[in-house]
Amino acid sequence: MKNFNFFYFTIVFLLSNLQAHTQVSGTVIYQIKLNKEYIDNFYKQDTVLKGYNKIAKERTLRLYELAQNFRFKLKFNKNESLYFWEEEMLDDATNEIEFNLAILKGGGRAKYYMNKDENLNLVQFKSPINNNWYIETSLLNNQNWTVLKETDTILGYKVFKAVSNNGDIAWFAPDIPVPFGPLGKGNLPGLILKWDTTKARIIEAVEIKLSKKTLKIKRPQKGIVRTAEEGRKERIRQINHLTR
Amino acid sequence: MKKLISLIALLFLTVSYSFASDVEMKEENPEDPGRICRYYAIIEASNDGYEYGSTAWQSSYLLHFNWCMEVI
Repeated sequence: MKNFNFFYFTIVFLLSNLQAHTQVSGTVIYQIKLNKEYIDNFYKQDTVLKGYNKIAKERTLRLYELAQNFRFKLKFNKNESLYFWEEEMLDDATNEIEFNLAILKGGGRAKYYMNKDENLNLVQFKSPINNNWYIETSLLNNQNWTVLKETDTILGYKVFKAVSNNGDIAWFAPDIPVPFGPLGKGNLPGLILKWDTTKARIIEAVEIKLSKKTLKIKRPQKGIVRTAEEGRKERIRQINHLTR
Repeated sequence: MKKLISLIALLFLTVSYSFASDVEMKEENPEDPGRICRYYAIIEASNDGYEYGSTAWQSSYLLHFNWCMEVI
């Protein structure tokens, strides 16, 4: 009987692994969620905004209401992934600044590309300062996580909790064994289905379609190439200069 | 000894109070829209959990700042 149990377990294990490895291409749709408790608590405080607290809170809630309608897509195969906003038209009733801020909550118009074999994390975007296109690179394995025992279920997949160095929380599914996720988040032993900034913003998968065919991922090409660290220093310098 | 401790405590409280008042005066001047909007933009970008210096952080900061300057 013991031998039979071992045999049965081995077969089930092999079959489930085989299924996971044949289905390592797919598309995930993510949407934005608001951690309302965080916003309520934040605006209860006596912040420097003082008399503008009420208007600021109302505006934040309105932006999230708008952002919750947007869909952000992650296409992936076993080696690459691309995350981007599924474009939608601005309707006449929506203010353009608010529309852009709402999109930004899911990553804006930037494209996030990851390549496992090349250990590459790449983001392509248009600078709001000079309108130039940039491609910024960093190492995929620069992201460090601590995997915890806590589990949950998202869209039928068992997910494990992981915490990054800066306190962000990711929920990843080992049954989809690719180190990718939304907004260039990754380097975990499974696809990230939920990313929680532990502040107001949460990004969570709402649809998953796995494919037996290997999906082709188009790597962003256009833009001035530099490292993410070079870009970060430049942006901080620009902001300091603009708001002096 | 007790008197000395009380004197040090009093001195500490006085210095802390002057410092706090000074910071409050500098940071919460409601007359300066630029200052309020800078704080507002930083607060909003931070509340969304954007990584400081990232492209999303910069865009968020600029859009919130511009919107705030229009409203105030």
